[in-house]
Amino acid sequence: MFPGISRRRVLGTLARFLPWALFSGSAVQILHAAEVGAASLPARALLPSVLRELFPHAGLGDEFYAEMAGVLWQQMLADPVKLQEAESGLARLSACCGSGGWEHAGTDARVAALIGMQEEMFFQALRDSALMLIYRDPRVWEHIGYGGNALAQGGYLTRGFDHIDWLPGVQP
Amino acid sequence: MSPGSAQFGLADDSVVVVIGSGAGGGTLSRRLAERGVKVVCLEAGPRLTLGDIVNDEAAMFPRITWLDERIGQGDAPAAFPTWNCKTVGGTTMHWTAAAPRIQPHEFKARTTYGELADTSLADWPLTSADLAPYYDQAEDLMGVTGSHGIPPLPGNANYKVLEAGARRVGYCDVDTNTMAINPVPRDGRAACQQLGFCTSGCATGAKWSTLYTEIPAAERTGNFELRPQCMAVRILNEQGRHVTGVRYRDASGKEREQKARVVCVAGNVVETTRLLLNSGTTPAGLANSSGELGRNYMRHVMAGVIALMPGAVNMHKGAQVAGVVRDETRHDPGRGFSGGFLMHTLMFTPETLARWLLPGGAWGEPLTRALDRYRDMAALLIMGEDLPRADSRITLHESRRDQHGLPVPVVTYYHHPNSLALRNYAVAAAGKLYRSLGADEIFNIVDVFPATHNLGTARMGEDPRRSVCNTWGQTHDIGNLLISDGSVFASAGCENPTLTIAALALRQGDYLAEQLKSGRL
Ligand SMILES: Cc1cc2nc3c(=O)[nH]c(=O)nc-3n(C[C@H](O)[C@H](O)[C@H](O)COP(=O)(O)OP(=O)(O)OC[C@H]3O[C@@H](n4cnc5c(N)ncnc54)[C@H](O)[C@@H]3O)c2cc1C
Ligand code: SF4
Repeated sequence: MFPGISRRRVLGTLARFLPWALFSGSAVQILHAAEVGAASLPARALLPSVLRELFPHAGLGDEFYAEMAGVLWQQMLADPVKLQEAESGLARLSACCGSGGWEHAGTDARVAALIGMQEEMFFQALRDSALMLIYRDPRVWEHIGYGGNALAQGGYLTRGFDHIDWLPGVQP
Repeated sequence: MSPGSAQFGLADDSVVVVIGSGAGGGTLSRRLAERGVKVVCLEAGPRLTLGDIVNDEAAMFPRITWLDERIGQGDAPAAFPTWNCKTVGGTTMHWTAAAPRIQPHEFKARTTYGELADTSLADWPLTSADLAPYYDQAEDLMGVTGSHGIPPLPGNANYKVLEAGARRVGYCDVDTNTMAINPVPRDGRAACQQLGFCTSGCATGAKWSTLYTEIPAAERTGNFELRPQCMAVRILNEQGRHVTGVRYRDASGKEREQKARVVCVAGNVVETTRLLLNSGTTPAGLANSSGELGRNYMRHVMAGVIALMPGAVNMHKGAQVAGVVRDETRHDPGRGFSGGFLMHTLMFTPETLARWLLPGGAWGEPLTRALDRYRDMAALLIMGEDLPRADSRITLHESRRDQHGLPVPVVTYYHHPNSLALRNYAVAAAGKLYRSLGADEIFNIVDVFPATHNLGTARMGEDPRRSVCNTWGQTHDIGNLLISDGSVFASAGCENPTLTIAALALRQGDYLAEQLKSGRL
């Protein structure tokens, strides 16, 4: 239950005025404006590994995160404001990782850099958009064990809705 | 328009106008129409069919949910304080269909709990015995398991965990809940296929929703006309003494006025209150000589408890809330609070958990380590009695206007200290239940849920100075204006409210039909 209610709706006043954007699953539309970073780093290239640090599932391959990053980037490209925000945000993130930047940083340094930015609008918007994208993806459902559309598969009545094999005193 | 549906003229002032087609409005409409009363039902949302319902929460949510701007304050979520539907069938589309009765002592909450600080708690002006025949009728109408020879639903694995844990810690009042979901075909509706998508609308029709039960039944009487996508914007009245009709916006945005002999409002508390506040000649609104309109707003004390169990549970499989523990519903101040709580099964989607499992919008390995064990999760929802406060209330925003030009509603809610004490106790009790079976980690989700139950803002009572309605939901100030939803609740009890809303609507329907027949209205 409780689908689609983005945490940023609670945080952001902007969300109040744009409920449709959020509920229609395109929260990414409300990434905030910031000045154009003359990004020396290819921000786009960081995105897959940023997504992996945000939602690291060992069972999901790098291609998956790359694909999600591609979709997010496409959404950002559609809006110059979003794009600027993403580029400058990712550039700052990389700068927080020390001289080698995000690319050469280890997981600890990356996580520390993300923690340092987690109160920022940029971060929260990115997290929420990524969350909505990743956790609505059937491949993720399959990986973590959520069934998705039950109607199409004929319901769980005959497909183990009451199956349990470890409960003391209960027959599987 | 469906076959058999009536059509009434805008100038026909013999009709009863019912605003809202959900649990209250849909049920009332059918009862009135079956008693020979002519009814026009105005419903802000569109009319879907069963075929429109898909097993996709992200797709259904924007189609059926009420998304017009609402502002939360205090302890209510700021941008989405309440969760309900704008569609024919109202929130009986989203609802999970647990249908318990309010316990006898809860109708006398003020007397039972005694003097408590900072609450406007009151007794109901009716007893459990007064409502019993209507509970019985509502259970028949809705097809509630365990009543009228209807068998219980089978328990899913999430239920089996709940039951085993409950018994381990010494609870004994545990079963698959009283559910308005068909375990076997009944009343022209199919049996539950255990899809688990109950909150997105039930694609099989096994779950009671007025969209495909009360509304078509009302249409078959020939006394009922449903007008979907018609948003009531003002109740027309003569200086606040008598109501004469309803102004509404139809699907094309055109304003129309339907004359009426009687108006019944069932917009689900926030909209009911807003409409009455918007319809007066003064800011106090309509039927508000008591000053109580909009006050005493209650939700329920809610908390989600999610446990990582030693083996797979697959909580998403099966009817979401068909499993309950009732042992803690008693009033026992020895626990440190008044009133009681239910624990019932629930499932959460991966997306919801990603958002809420850890407080503060967490991310990274602590989150995904838990999500990777989605299969092993068992979950329940705590639902406790919420005490009313005069300052928990629905008001109108001073300047913000919605797409109809109406002031945006502001939902101000404050936890009563009793609610927090109840919640702490309940969360600990639920944790103990799961740990007794070897749960290795427990997560509590609190304070993020929008209200799914809205109650109390036009409460019923005997004293017109301290309540808005009488025992029939008829406003004290205006004889031909009635309230037909959870607004009339004098106290919340700890039970899901919809069975009671439906029972009250049936009782109100009988009363109203009688009043109209005898010419008293
Ligand atoms: C996710 C979820 C799960 C739930 N599960 C349960 C459960 O298990 N058990 C339980 O008892 N309850 C449950 N509920 C609560 C239940 O849905 C409500 O108690 C019930 O639907 C309330 O009935 P109502 O008639 O007052 O309002 P609704 O059913 O919400 O109907 C109100 C209708 O009025 C319409 N309306 C409002 N304003 C206007 C206007 N100005 N003009 C025209 N139309 C208008 C709305 O569009 C809506 O269709 C749940 C709710 C949610 C959100
Ligand atoms: S679990 Fe049963 S009630 Fe719920 S949606 Fe599926 S068929 Fe309907």
